[in-house]
Amino acid sequence: MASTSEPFDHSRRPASKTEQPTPAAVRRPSRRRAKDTAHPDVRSNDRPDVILVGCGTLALESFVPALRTLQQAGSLHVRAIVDPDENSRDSCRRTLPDALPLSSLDAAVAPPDTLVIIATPARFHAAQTNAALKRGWHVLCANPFATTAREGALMIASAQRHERLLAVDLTPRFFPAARYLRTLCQDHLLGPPINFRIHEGTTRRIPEGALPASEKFESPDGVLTELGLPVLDLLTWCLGRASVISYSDDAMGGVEANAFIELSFSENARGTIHLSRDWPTEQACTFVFERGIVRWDTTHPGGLTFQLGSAPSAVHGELVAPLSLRQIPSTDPLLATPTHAMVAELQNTLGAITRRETLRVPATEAMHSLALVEECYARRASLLQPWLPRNEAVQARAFSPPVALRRS
Amino acid sequence: MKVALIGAGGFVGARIIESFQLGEGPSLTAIGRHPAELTSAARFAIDTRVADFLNVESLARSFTGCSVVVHAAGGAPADLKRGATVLCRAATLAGVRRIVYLSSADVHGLCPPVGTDEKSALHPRHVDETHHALVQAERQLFTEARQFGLATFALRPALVYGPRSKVIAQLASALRKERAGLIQNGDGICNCVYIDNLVAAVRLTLRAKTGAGAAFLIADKETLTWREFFHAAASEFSSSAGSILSLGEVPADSSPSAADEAPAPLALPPDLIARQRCTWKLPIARAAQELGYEPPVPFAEAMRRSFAWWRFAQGEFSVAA
Repeated sequence: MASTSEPFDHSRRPASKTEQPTPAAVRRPSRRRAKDTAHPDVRSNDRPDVILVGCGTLALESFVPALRTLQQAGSLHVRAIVDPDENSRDSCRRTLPDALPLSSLDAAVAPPDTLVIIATPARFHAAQTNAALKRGWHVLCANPFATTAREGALMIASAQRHERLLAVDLTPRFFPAARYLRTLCQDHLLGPPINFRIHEGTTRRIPEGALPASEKFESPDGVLTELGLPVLDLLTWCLGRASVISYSDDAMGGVEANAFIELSFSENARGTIHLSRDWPTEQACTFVFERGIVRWDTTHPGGLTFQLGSAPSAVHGELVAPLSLRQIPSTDPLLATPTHAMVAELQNTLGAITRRETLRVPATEAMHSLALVEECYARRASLLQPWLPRNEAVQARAFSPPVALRRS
Repeated sequence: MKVALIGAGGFVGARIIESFQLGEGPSLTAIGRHPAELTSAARFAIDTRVADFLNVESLARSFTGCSVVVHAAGGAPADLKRGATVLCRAATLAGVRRIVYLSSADVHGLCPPVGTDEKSALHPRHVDETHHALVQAERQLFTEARQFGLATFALRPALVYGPRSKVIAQLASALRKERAGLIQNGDGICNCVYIDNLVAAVRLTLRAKTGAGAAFLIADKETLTWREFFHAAASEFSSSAGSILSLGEVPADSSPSAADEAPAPLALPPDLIARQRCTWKLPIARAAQELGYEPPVPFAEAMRRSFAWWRFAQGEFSVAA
């Protein structure tokens, strides 16, 4: 059971089952200097060095604002930004002007224990991660960190061999509301969880100035990977091991834009996930516990709505610091923007590199949701699209590819 | 025939792709401004391209291998007119000889006067900048097309509704909140077109032997009042038609908040107020005669399909047998 007196002090809380460090994931990074990183011009200073690989939408929206915050605070130094496309590099350099722009990671020079952040499409992750690990650098990889569970296992093994850290970007785990939900689920503060319902539907925003690197569009991952992976990670983090009851999507020879998943968990909790990227839905998680209901609007990482038992009304509020009889209660909301969460994630990763703290999202943790995605595709059924004329509905089912052809 | 579709990410473009892929073709190249606009198209194994719609060379490259272009993209008002010029020049550069351009019946105004048809002068005093831009873009399109000798058809659909449309989403939301409102008892004519009827018109235009250089109004077959439209929606939504609010008369130039100082249960968007005042059913005779347009989906079925999608989008789903 987690301590209830310090619900947000993660470092003092005993690790729960889903957080148990595994040898592959959180082995202390070695102090040894990697041979091939020796370079006369490269000296470590007090601030950890960071290399950002990939300057597309993900980098611009997620990593760059947090890197700027931490660099301005003197907590790190962004040594280089890497992207084959000059326009993309320029977009990042507007925020990180001191970083050396490079077209290839091979051209980067940095001391051992540098953190390489990989924010490229998933199909590049394995090669880029392995290249960084070989040079004695640690890696924080965007999610999904691998295209398959098998590839992920090989990447983890590579990190073990090189005695480097391999972390995965799962910022939702750093949201105060997500941490609160997890505590409720794990410690049964409202009784055991019974069921849940999650809607995650959004059309992607395009940051200003972000241009495609190529005019030839390459099919992205489907919505299950793009929006579903973080949801599946949240659920396995909160509820433990999961089984897929059913999975259906609307792919018709390509990749899905809508998906529905039914899951069950080891404590008998079960529920549904609705994912869409062609129509914005409410973005919310609702958990039903034995003695109450909790709803989290996932666009608001620091707030929750509670229905406690048969209480006559629900309560909606911001999460603040824990109450104590000895202190004046704080009414300041916990810092809870996506950038705050990313800052916390980067701080944790850098802290783990310097052995000050335990890595909170090692790649082994991300393997659970990756395996669930594969299980979903293995059990795939075709979604009924009830607005289609009859002839088109028949054709839609015929178009659905064999499962084995997907994510190959 | 291979068709280049500009604006694959919009709701009209997405349905064109769906219908062509699941129906009887033709094959498509789906073109978006950014990969994010191609996520719906990517459900199918089709050719997808990213292009700058305001750059002749970029757009021309995306037309490679295509003989016809369907333009279904929206855009900022400032870009619409320039976009029409770029479209014609890119088509010429790429060797495309036919353009089907989705304009809008709004070029005649939101409340077109009695007698309006394709030959009527386009409305000169739009309140909304976008509607001005639509008029300018269509004029520019035909000017450029004549210069380059392109067979160009402008379709002017009435208010388009159907799966993934804001019309249905906003109406469903208003019905759910019991804040759907009608002015003048909903007696105004609802000039609308179901998305599949518009797609049928696009399909006909791809092979039309006559009508190049002309514009065509595209609407549903039925003459409907706004009251009938709302009540049909309420019926599909399982909502009581009695929950639709009657707002009486609203001054023509009033702001929404000032529209009803007496109990004002809701504020209708100004464009909806203007549309609800319409007393003229836009004719589809020219499209019928020149293109062979006959709307295939009747209104009742269109509403059934629209709200079937709405329930799906809200998370009600089932698996195909």
